[in-house]
Amino acid sequence: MKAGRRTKYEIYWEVLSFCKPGRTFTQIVNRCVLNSKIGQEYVDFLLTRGYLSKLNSDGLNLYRTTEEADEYLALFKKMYQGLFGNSPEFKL
Amino acid sequence: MNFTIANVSAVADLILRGVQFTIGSVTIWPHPQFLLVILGLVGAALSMKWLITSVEMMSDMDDIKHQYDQESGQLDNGALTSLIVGAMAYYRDKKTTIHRLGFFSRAAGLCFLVSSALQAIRGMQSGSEIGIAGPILVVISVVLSSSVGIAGILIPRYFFKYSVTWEYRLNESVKAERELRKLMENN
Repeated sequence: MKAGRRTKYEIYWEVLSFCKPGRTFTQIVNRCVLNSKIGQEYVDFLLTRGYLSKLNSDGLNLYRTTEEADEYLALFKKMYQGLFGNSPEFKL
Repeated sequence: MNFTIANVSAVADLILRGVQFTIGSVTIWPHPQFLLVILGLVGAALSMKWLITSVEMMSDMDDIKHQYDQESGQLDNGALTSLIVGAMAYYRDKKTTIHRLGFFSRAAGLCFLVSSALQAIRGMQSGSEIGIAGPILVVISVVLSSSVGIAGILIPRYFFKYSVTWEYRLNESVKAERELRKLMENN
């Protein structure tokens, strides 16, 4: 399925959720359906915010989600799941 | 899904009529009816575009449903949120197209109803000239055209009711983003 029109906060959430075990940049852009330039902007932003950390493992540069991102992830999950829990019912 | 199926069937019929009209009229160049030939070609091209858009949307909806079916047995919070994000992004992307399809569906429905009325009038005027089977075929044709016409007009109405729920979710997601921005700024 195509990525659709995501907001930047949705993309942050996707990147942070995906990077919990540590991922390469290529894996991030492929999984989150981003081009390299845009992907780098998002990754750099999350690095400056401290939500992602960069580490080297077996010669690979990996990006891993930090504990500081936990609050963001929890708030995002709570708010978005609430969108479907509290929305008006569809009635014929 | 019913909405896109109604669109697809209406489009298929419009394409056939457009092609039929074009082929039927192409020998009368350079009479003023040549403009109607152009109209027929334009109608066929637009209908093809409409058909392709409807089929693409059906395919995308199938993907979402397939993803949900695959993961529904083991939906953890992450997978559930991922599905929600995907569905929201999809609706945000396709909202304008969906409303446009609704408009064209109603327009096509109206055309089908007009067509069925004309068929009924022509059928009554033909009377006994068309034999015994003729009236039966006319009735079948009128019923089919009317059914598609009514479906084309009614289905978007129900879909637009459903889209109220999605509009609410999109509006609430804007509020959610404000909270997320505040959180990021505070950190």
